[in-house]
This record gives sequence, C-alpha cells and structure tokens, in this order.
Amino acid sequence: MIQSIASLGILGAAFGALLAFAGTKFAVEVDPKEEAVLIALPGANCGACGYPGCAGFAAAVVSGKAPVDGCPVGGPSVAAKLGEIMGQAVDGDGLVKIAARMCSGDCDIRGDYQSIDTCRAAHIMGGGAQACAFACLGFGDCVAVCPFDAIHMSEKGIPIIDEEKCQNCGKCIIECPKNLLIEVPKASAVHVNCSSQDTGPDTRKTGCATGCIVCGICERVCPHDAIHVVRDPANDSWPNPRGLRNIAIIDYSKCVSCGLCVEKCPTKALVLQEGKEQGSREARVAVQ
Amino acid sequence: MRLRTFRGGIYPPAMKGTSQRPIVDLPAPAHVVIPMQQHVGTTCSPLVKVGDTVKIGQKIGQCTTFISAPIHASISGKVKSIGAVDVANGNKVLAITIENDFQNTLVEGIAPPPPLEELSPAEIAELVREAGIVGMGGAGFPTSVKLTPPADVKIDMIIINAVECEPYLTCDQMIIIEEVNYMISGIRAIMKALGLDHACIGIKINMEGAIDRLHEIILEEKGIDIVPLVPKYPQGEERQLIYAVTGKEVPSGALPQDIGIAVFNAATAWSIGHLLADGLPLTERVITVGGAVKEEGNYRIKVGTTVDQVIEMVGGYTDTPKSIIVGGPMTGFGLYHTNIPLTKQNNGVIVLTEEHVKEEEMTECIHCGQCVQVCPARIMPNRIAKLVKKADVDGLEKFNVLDCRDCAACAYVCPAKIPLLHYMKIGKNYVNEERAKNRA
Repeated sequence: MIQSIASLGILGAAFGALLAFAGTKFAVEVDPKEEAVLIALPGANCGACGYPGCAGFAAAVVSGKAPVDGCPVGGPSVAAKLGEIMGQAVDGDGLVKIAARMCSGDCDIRGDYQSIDTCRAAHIMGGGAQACAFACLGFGDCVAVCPFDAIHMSEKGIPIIDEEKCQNCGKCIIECPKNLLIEVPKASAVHVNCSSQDTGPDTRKTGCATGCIVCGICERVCPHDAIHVVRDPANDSWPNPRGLRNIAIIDYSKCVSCGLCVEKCPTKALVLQEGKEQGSREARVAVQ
Repeated sequence: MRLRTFRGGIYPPAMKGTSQRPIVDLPAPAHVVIPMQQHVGTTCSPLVKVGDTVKIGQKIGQCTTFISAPIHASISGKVKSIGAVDVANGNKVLAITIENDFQNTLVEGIAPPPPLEELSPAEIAELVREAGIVGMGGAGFPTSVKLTPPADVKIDMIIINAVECEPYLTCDQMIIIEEVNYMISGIRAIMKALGLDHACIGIKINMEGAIDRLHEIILEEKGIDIVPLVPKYPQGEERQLIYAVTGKEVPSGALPQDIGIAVFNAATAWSIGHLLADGLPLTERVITVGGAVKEEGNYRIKVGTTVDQVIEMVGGYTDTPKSIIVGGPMTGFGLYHTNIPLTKQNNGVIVLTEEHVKEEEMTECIHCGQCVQVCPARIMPNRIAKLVKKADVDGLEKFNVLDCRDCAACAYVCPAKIPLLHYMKIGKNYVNEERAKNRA
C-alpha cells in the first residue's frame, strides 16, 4: 500500500517537473493581440468568414489578411471590439443582420421529380418541379448547411428562419441554388417575399398568388422612397447588388418598416413581421 | 474482319420495335410553339411581333453570335404569343407560338440552291447557317460552326454518325432505308465544305435494312466508306465513335476538331441534303414515337409540334404513362409535363409505363466497381458521387468529372440503384460554377 503510493507519488513528481521544464523551454509565443481577438470572437467555429474556425480568423486579422469586420456572426459589436484591439476604424452601417427568405412557396407543381433529394440536384434538372423558375425547391439545403440550427422547414415545405438563433453567417445564402436568401437588418419588419424575375403575367401563370407582379404600387405609396421596382437593372441606379429584374427591392437604409407598402401590395408579395418596431408614416403626410 | 468498338459500355435491350416502320408524315398541328433556342449557344431574339403573319420557312429568330443558328417558322399563320415556355430539359425558354392558317404558304425566295459543283466551301457553310441546321442527334451544336473550323485547325477526317445506339430510337435507321440519297448528298456537301474527298459512316452491325441499303449505295459512291461497329451503348457518343473508327482518343478537355476529326449525325447530313434539294430551311424532322402509344413508329413532324399533339396524333396512350421522355431513354429528358415543344435536336418521344419504370430505393454503394468498368470516359462515378456529397470541388476536378458525357451507363449498371448520372451532373455543375467564379 505505502509502496504503491510512494512509487506513484515519485512518478507524478518526476513527470510534473518534466512538464514544467518543457512548458518554459518550448513555450510558443502567442501574439497577445491574437489572443484578445480570439476571446472577442463568438467562438462558434462556423467557418463563415472563410477561415478554418475562430482561431484561424483571429490569426488572419492580426496579420492584416482579414478585415476586422470579417466575422459575419459577430456583426457590428464584435467588429467594434476587434477594431479597438487592432486600433482600426470600422466602416459599415452598424446594423445587426440576419438571413431572410424571398419566396412564399405558393406556385404550382408542374410534374414529378424523383431523384436525389437536395435542392442543388433538383435545380440542375431544369430548375426543379416548381412551375416558377425562382421558387423554393423545399429540400432544405439551407437547413442542412446551417451551423446554428436556425432554419427549419415549415409544413408547407419552405424554410423558416429562427431570428433568435440566426447569426448571419451567410452559409445558407451561398448554398441556396435559387438565391432566395438575403441578408437583412434584424430590426426591419418589412420584406419582399418573392424573387421572381419574370414579368407580372408570367409570374401569374405559375399559379403563385403571392408573387411580385411588378405593378409598382409599393413604390408609389412609400413615404420614405425606400422601395423601388427594378425593371431593368442595367438602367437603374437603385441599390441592387444581385442585379435582379422585375422585382420590388427595399433599400433598408431608408426603410422605417411603416408597413404601408405591405397594406397596399395587391398580391401580398410584401410581408410585415409582427412584433417588430414600426416607424412613422409622417413623411407621406408631409408630401401630400 | 473484327468489328471495332471502344472500351467499357453496356448492352441495354434494343427495344427497336419501330425499326421497319416507314416514315409517316404527321399532319400539321393547329399551333406550334417554336423555342428561340434550339441549339447550343445564345438564345435568338424574335424577329416578329404578336399578330404578324408568318409563312413556312420565314426566319423568325436570329442572333448575331457565331455559335448560334437562326430559327424559322414551320407552319404558316399568325403569331399568337411570344413568351417563356417550358422545354424538354425543364428550363424556360422564350418561344413564339404560331396559330396555323392551314394555307401552307411558303415564304418568297425559297428556291433550290445552285448545284453542289458550283458552290464554294464558304457558300455551303453560309447556306447551312442560314437554314438553321444544327446537330440533330441530340446535342444541337450549330453545324455551320463545324463546317468553318478555325484557321489553325486542319480537319482531315469526316465521320458520319449513323450508330443510333440508344434503345427505342429508329429514326436515323429509317432515314437511311428510305431517304439515303438525301443523306449522301448532304455528306458530299460536308466533304466539299471541309475540302476532303473521303468520309466514313459509322453504323451498328445490327441495323437491319439500313446496312444493306448503304452497301448498295456506296458501290456507286466513291470516297464514302462504311465502318460496321459493335451494337454497344454508347457507341454513338462522339468520342467513342471516333475511338472505334480511328483508334484515336480525344484528349480530356479538347474537342474532336483538335485532333482533326469532324463528326456529323446522319440526320444532320440528311437535312443538309434536303436543303440542297429544295432550299427550304430546317422546319421538319423525323422522330421516333415509341413505347406505350397506339401507333408506334417513325414520324415526320413540324418543328415546334408539342408532345401533347404528337401523342394525340398517334392515337394516344395504351396504358397509363409513368414517364415520358424526349430523346432516347438513356440520355433524354424525362418531362415534368407534356405541353413541351419538340425542337430540331429532339429525336424521339418515348412513353414508358410502370412495367419499364421501376421505382427502386437507392441504397448505399457496395463498392462493386461496375460503374468504373462500364464508364466509356474512364472516370470513376463511385468516387465522384462521394465527392459530390462532400461538395469537394477540388476533388471533383482532380477526378475529371468534366470528362463525363452523360451516357448514363454507370447508373444503368449500378446494383445499389444510385442515380450516378445525376451525381455526375451535379459534380459538373460544381466545377463549372467554380470556374465561372474564378473567371469573374
């Protein structure tokens, strides 16, 4: 009994001394900045920044390869912290952003699709079984790719984004073959729930009652000049990073979520999320 | 003589019940839907407006790029609408719908071109281009582009593809049996356009009637040879045909013209022959309607006739259709619905019933390697399917997924019922997307 305690004790002491020696002799120099950056990051290791995990991103920030606002999950608050550590000014609008879906999934189904059940597989077979070429395919590639469990399929077969869980990593935005997911400010309540680039009559032909028919009513009623129907992206200076056509596009830097366009939209292609703060419609009164 | 062939491939049941049925002209339909893209290349822009009157052979779609083919009206009548329609591969394409006035008025200025002896190679290519002739075996590559190779390319061999290796399809066979003279005059025009005095016709050994007919003809025709080939699938695929006939392989990523070979489909040569005889642009073609329809057979249709109309004209279905395919059953497109216009490059409508379409559940790969054995492109479908699941674009590139020619032999033999062809297509989509991104 005493023998075994003594031998294990000696062994423990010997290895402890060895480790203490190795710890000082072979210590890896860590840039204190890198450590500070790593602590400030969300630590989700999602890879959305394009680097292998948060540690990889931290190293890239410190070496100047990645911008301080390069962590989409952290958003403006983390960007500000990193800017402080690195001593850089942070650009950007300072809005917390999340992903939003741009399809109601209401169009007709034109036939059977039987093969690999992923969106990408269906998309390359002539765009899938949906009558609308811009419709959600409903196989949930976005659900599979989400590292935060923030997307789930509704009973109707379209993805629902959990705003509390969504960290705006942007993986679903890249994954969706139909480009139906976009980045929007979390505070904004009004969204365009359609991304059809067909003309109005063609959108109607797909059997979708809630598609944008390019009528332009939203544009006319908006008191803040925050929504515009882009018909031809080549001759339109409206902010339109994806170059969409025949669709209403909201400029979130101007939109105050008053909801007037949602009331007037004849097809309900615009949607208002309940429970979010809505701005005033006074600007319209002033115009009148 | 030992029959020539290629490595790999499969022997699907031929199902060529229509192989001796004479070509029947189907009546012109009440309306046709003519897509503005019936070829590889850019979409044409319409030259007519809604309400215009058009005549047979009138050019109604044109585009200015080199790799394209103009589109012509196949019936006379009034333009009813212009808008996007679904086509066989599922995509939406701008199309012109023409309502038939049943007057069959030809457009002015249609006259047989001067005899072949008086035409220069450039004139032949221009005639073919203006007539809108494209590869009629399925791919739809504009024929005039093949007839005018770039200055640094020297074509020294012409192969005519009369293999028709897909099950069901027999339209090329019937063209040879009934209208071989048009095909031969088309081949002569191709030879003249490319400045060669020799061409080979690759044909399967089991094409009853067609081989005999060709043997009769070539006794009189100098410079045209027949190369009998093993009835294996996909013998009619361009690269496998070139290998079987010449023993040369087209390098990965290269075109047949890079090794001095030009391949033309038998039906393409046939339509050039028709063009030389009457000067009419490509507005008709022969298709095979097979499977569960009342009157299976080979039919001459107007370009733009819809699948619905064709099936009605041949007497309707004999059984509930399970899958309707435009093209051959191996490489054709299963349709989402039947309101689909048939274009210049569609060579068949196949109606399959429950008997032939088995829904079998996909199981895990058992690593038997049969897909690798049959793959004529010598790539590894099993590995590529795994890489697709991982979305490993670099790996896909390394395993040469772009060499796949969509023959579907891998999916045909797979005992685990994995839709390997679909995985190949996704793999190619990944690589092409990545390349487009890098170019931008």
